[in-house]
Amino acid sequence: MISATPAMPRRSPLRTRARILTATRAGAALIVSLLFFAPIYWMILTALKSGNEAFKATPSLIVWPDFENFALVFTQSNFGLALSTSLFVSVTSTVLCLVLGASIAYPLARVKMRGQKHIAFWILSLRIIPPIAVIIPLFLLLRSVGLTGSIWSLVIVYTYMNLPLTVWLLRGFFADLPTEIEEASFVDGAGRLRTFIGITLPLTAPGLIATALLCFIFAWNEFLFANILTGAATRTAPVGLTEYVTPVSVEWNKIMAAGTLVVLPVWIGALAAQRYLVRGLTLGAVK
Amino acid sequence: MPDSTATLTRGAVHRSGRGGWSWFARRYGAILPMAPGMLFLVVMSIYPTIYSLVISLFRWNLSDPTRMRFGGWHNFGLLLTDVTFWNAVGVTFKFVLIAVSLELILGLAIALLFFQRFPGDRFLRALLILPMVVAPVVVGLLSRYMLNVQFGIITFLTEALGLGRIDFFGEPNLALGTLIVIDIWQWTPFMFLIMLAALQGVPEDIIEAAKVDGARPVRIFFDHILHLIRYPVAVAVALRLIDAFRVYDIIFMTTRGGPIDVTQTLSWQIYDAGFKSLDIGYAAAYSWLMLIIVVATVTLVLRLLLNEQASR
Amino acid sequence: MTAYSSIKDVTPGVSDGKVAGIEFAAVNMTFADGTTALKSLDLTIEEGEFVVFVGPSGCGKSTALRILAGLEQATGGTVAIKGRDVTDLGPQQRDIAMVFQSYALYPHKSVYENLAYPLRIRGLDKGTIETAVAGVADLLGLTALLKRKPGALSGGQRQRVAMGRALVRNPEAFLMDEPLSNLDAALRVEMRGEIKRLHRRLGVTTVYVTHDQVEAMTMGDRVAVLRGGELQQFDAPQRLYEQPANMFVASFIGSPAINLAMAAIGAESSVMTLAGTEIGLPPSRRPEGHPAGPVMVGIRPEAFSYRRDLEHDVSLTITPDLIESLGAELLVHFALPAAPVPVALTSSAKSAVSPIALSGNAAEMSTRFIAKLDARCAYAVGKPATVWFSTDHLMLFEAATGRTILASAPMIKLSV
Repeated sequence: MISATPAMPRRSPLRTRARILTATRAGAALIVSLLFFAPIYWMILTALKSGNEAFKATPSLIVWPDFENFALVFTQSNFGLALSTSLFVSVTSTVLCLVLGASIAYPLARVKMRGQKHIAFWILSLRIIPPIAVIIPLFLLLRSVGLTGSIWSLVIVYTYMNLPLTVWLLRGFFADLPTEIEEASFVDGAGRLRTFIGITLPLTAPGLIATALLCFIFAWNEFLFANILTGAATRTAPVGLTEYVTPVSVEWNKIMAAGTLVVLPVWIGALAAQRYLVRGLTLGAVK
Repeated sequence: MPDSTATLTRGAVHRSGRGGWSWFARRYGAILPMAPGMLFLVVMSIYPTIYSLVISLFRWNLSDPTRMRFGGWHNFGLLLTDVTFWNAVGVTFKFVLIAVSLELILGLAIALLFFQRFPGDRFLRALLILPMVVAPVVVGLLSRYMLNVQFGIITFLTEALGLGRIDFFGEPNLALGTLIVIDIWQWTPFMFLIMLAALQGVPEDIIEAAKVDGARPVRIFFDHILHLIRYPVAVAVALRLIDAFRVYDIIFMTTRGGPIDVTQTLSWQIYDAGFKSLDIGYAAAYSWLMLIIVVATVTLVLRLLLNEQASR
Repeated sequence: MTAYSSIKDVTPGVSDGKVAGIEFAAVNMTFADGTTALKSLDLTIEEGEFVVFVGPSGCGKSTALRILAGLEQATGGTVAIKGRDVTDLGPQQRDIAMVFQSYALYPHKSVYENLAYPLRIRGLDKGTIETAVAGVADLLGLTALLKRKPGALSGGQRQRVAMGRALVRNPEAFLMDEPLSNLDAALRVEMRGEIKRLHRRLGVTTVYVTHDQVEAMTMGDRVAVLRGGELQQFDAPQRLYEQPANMFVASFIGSPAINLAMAAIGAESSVMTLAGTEIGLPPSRRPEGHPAGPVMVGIRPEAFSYRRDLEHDVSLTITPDLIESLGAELLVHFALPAAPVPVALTSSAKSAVSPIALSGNAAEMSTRFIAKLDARCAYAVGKPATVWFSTDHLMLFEAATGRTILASAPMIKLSV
């Protein structure tokens, strides 16, 4: 057997330069990433610190994790209730958004109709309005139907707030699906509804999931409406957080523990759907 | 030649004409599902619009709800001659423009670091994007904790560096800058993600053609890449502008407009007028002015970005 | 037409081919943006026939197919399948199967599920579905691929799955929209034959859309040539080649395309002037009744010969400026000698030539010729030579409308 001599990895000056460049970039990226992550690390660390560790003169960067603060958050206050209220409101409004959004977006993407573009742009333009600009009329509207203080007022407002984005995104996802695939299903004998459920939805699922995630995050993090429209029993988690801050006692360990609890579910979702998130965040401008 | 003579019994099949349920269903059935959602959007947007347009013309304070007097342009006149309004316009523009432009530059720079792959880049990217999904309320609390004059980690660092204790939120010269830095921390990851995706969408052959033509990387970036990513850049900037104008949660959790009035943004003042002074006519007029400012700014910036780049 | 009568034999109940498989009656299509895709299309396809719609892009062939499938709603006229008016029916109710250009496989379903889908919708029981899918998979050589997703298949395999999905049930008609255009050349030729064999075996009425005239000629029992939404001619391939209805059909069918030049008919229609040469026309080849004046003359490249014989008795002296070898044959390019055509004639001809007769550059088109000659000819670029043809192969078209005045005489094959 004639064995070919494996070519020795040549250390050409060009290749060495490329290696140094990559190493430099990686190093810079590491520093930048750590810089952005540092506050989050600090929050989680504080949440895991026990007792007065948080107020020590020389802060320690590593601690033995102590989950006491998390336990206290649930036992000493209504934060558990606030979290479940947030969960209910966010999930409900997300589901409503997807159902209403898909039923607007699908015809908008598929059916030829007059003024199609105008409708789409009108819907998108709703997103530019600052919430603060509509909060008073919405507050009065909801009060007139007796919904202020009820979690349904938040469900309605969040659905309204996220619907334009949902429609815009779903329209893009539906439009990206080749019409021929749906037409093939029609020719194969399936009706519109069956085609939509059996072909269209499964094929646009990644987009639907990303959209759902965005709706959820926006609803989950929202504070302005939540602060004004909820009563004592219907506080969402962000509103609940503010109650920890009292002039007399500021228990930072517990606040950070509660903050971590607010942020954690969203992080997990965002990391899982990172790929689709970009497209959602840019209204589909980047694929 | 069509040589078949088979005839078709035309008219044997019933052809439903115009009118009737089946005609309606065939013609509009496909767009009928839009109705509930569209109705919801129309009600939720038209009602507040008209309502706020009407009350903006009235002098109406909810502390005395029965006294509602027509004021015409009174509220608008009051606003346009009010120093605090113009202060808020200035503060908001400073905040929005500085934050968004720095976020764009930083985001693009970081995206360039991540553009070519290196070991572990996925993990770092995951760390990097976390800030943008943190609830603004949590961001506010976290920054208060970290910047606390007594025991904050930043205070610890400034003391270690010999700068002494700095009250970032209490110092009139620093408060707005601090808020801008916080916004940059939270939203640069957003710009980064979009810029990275945009860069990855640049067709490789164009870059390769430029390389073959002898262009250096810096030249390629400014001559070609910037031009090719202008659309995603414009969308990202527009979205960030819209959101930056809304800034409210963080101010609520930290400075509450102070010290004095250096962090009094438009959003904050509308909230103040509507929910503290209960002067809702005034707040409605304020909202309209703000909407005009936002729309005008976004339009202007978009035009600048897309035209300037396109003419290259 | 012989192959075609054998198809009918396997279709019981059809005795004399008088039942229309598919009928388009005065079908019009105008899109919302005002573009007209079809102008009053009348077309009757016989039961069991393989018909090809061919034409350049935008000619309306795909629109006609989509209207037939029910995917597009015609703005006027009626469509019938097997005598049943389906104009107002959706694609679901038409009982047709379609193969799309992009194949349109369901990417989230396995090959098996793709093939089973039309049957599942019809609510057939599991056993029947399994048998049918297995049968089709066997027929198309897909058995080993049934568990795969379309993403894991090659282009040719996807094409087969798309065919299989159409074949798995017994539709009234197969519709195919450029099904082979995404395959490479060799595979395309292979699948072309396979589709024809399948058709012969199953005998189901098939409408096949393509822009490729070779596909149209080789596959169609009859071919409908469309242009600008109008049916130009609907005939058997050989007749399209020999007896084109107009200049468009003549130039669309055949490769390389037919050579076209401006010529003049003499006062008694017994003489024609082409490139300054007078050509005497035998009685059978005279454009009787046509007034003296300009005509367009067409000669197919393969009608030329490098030597004189019984069939090639008119000579033309040329100077080749490019010679391309095809192996057994050569494509000899030459410019028709500049003709001292009377000024009055050219100007009137130019103004008379409508877009349908000549698209754009009349001079260019009328002077560039290609002759397809036996490779044994020893022609060289730049060296004057003589080519021969017969007046039997000349076609004459009205200069103004492009309508055929005189088609080529039917080819007489000399049996050895």
